[in-house]
Amino acid sequence: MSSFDYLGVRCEFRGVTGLKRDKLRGLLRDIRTRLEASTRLLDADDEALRARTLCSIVNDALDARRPLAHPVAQALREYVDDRGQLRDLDFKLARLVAQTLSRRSGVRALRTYPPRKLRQQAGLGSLARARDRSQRQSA
Amino acid sequence: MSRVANWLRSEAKRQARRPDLVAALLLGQGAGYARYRLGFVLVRLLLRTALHALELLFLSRAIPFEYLAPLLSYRALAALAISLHWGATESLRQRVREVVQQHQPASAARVVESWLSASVLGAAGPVLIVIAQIAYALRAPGSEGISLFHAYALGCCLRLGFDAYARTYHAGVFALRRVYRPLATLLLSDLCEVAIIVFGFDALGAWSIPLATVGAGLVDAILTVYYARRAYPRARLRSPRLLPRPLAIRALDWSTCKRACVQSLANAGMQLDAWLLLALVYVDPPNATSISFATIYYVLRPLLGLATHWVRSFYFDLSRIDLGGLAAFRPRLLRLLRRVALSCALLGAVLTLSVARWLWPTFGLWPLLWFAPFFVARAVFALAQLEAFAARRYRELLVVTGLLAAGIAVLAWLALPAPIVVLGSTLSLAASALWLQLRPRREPAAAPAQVVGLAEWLSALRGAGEVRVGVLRIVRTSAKVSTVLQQLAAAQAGVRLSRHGRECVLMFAPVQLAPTRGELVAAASGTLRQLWVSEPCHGSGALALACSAGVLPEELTRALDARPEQADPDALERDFVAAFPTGRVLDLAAGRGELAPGSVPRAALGTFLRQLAAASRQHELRARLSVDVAVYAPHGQAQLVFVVPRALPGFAEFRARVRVASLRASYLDRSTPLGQVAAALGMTARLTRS
Repeated sequence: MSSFDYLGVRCEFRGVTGLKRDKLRGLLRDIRTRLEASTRLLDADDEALRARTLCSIVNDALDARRPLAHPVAQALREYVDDRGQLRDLDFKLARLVAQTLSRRSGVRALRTYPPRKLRQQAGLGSLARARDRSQRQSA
Repeated sequence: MSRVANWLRSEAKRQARRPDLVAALLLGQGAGYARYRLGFVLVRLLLRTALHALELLFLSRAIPFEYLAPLLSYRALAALAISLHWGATESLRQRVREVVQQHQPASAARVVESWLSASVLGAAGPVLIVIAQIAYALRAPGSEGISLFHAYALGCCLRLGFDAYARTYHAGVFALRRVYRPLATLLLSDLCEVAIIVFGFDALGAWSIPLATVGAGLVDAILTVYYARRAYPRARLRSPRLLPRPLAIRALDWSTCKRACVQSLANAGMQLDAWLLLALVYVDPPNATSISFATIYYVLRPLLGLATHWVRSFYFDLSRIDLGGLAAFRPRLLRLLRRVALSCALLGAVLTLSVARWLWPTFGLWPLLWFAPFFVARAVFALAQLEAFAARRYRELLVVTGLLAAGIAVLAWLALPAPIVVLGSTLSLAASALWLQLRPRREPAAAPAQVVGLAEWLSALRGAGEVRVGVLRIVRTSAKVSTVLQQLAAAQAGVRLSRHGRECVLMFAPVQLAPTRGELVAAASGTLRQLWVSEPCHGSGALALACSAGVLPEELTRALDARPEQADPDALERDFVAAFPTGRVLDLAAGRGELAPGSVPRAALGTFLRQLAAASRQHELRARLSVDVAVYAPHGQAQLVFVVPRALPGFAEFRARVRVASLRASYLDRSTPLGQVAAALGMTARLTRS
């Protein structure tokens, strides 16, 4: 056992805090629902525009200042400092976007839409980088 | 515990005794409310009349009558200055309301402190000028010390300063709630003034009068500040400092000062009595040989003020009436105030004539009768003026005030007899009141709200030109419809939004501002599961397109396809009376009907109003009330309110019919079904019938 759950937070014995597993699942489930509902409404748009729209949906869901942000967005920005979990979440979100865009399941979707392309061309945000940036600013 | 219970019981009793505007409008207790509000004013005005008579009596013992004119002028100018100050503090009240609405109550105290600082600095000006005059007079050769005139002027200026400070402090909390204080404290300052004059005259002579003026002003200011300071925490505001920093004035920007100047001048007409007194002092100054009109006017001015001061008691109600669910009761309040205006005018006229005959039995009755029409015109003008002031029609008020001032100045300049001056003022007042009343009420040019009730949205769509209409359905597990509306409104300027139920959002926008599908999906953060956006079309035919696509909510389709006779308000009222004999109908447009006494407890009237406001926007609030409510509100304006005891069988269906009628009347003419609109537009409308 390398961690325990306390007051809604997963405390690692490495000295970092992260989100509990059920909250992570809830977040990914909600974003998947949003992406799938949206991609049906964007059939007429071209591929690049659709990618940008889907990435902006993911960014909005993780931006705690937006009224429609997911409830755990605030926690992700404020007290989750487990870089491993944030990087894992970044990867899963990129994979979700790629799967929705390419309509392929699994990591094979990333062949068509690699994370780097999604971040540079479609504006997908990164939780780990945002965390690093905020830590640098506070320091 | 028992002490708390006792306190709660006594507080509940006290509040139950105190008439309330909401109860007055909903339960038809307007007369009782007006009596309660005006009782204090009447007692105070009678006391002030006695005070003015005493002041003149003692002054005439000390100095010849011919020298009274400047003293009366000082008083008139001080009254005019305080009226200007009251107008200027309207900016302060507006700002306090704004910061509280923006959930920044901590800023309210800072706003009041900046105004206090400005008031203190502004009031110091006249005092310093008078002190400089006194110093100059003392240094002049052959000076005999301070004259009574100088002392009187200094007394008036000091009192003006105290008043300005106390009223500013009071205005901060009065923006949000009334400041209650015992009647005795309202009368205490006047009683102090009388006591100082009566008991101090033997020792001090006429010097007791300026001393009494300052003393009474100080007592009044202390009591006003004391009770206002206690009221701040009850309005959930921090009490401002009693001694603000002089530099706090820097918080007032140039635009605020400019607005305050305009409001101040716009309110100057409220002190028409002071102008008229100045004119009368000029054309008919006090003299020893005959009774001057100016003397009579000065003594009776407080009673004459009954025609104007009554309206101040209702300023708070007028400024509050447009907030929340009370807006629908505005016509009812105005009707009540018109009745009060006439009653006050007649009561004031009778009292004035009686007191005047009692004080000056030798003075002819006919010259005094000139004041009777003046009373009526003054009361009606005061109401029109305050109504315009509360509605922020400052430009019209400036015009009226300017014309009135010019008219009175011309009458005085022509040196016409005093009764003619009064008659001329009466005619000018009547004409001004008529002009203010007949001018259409202009709503402040605020940007139209982006998120509105469904009926209002339909009404706006009907009047719109070339638009795109959108029907959006949201994923209920991801978001609430109110949150989606909030985010869409923030992201898309120029879009009018409304909602139906818990998952449907309706929008329209002019073609050039209309967002694309992708923009809508992104603005809603992916919470949409269905999205339909129309081709560009005229607003009046847009819903026919949506109907033919089958994307409109079922209730809306039913409303647009309803038979005209089903949606007729007269038929609604007739059917309601027949089906629910125990129910009540409140016709807000005609001011007819009120709630049955005891049907809604007084403590629940606020909830009832909120429910009414929500029903006008086609929302349902889950409120635990002893009654059920249905509101016929075409274009979002509540016209008919149907009230029945809770859970009466058949009322839910009737409420649905009322909703349908409101929606239909907001979009279609009385006799035009949507099918005809679609046919006229050449559409093959497939109108789904339920």
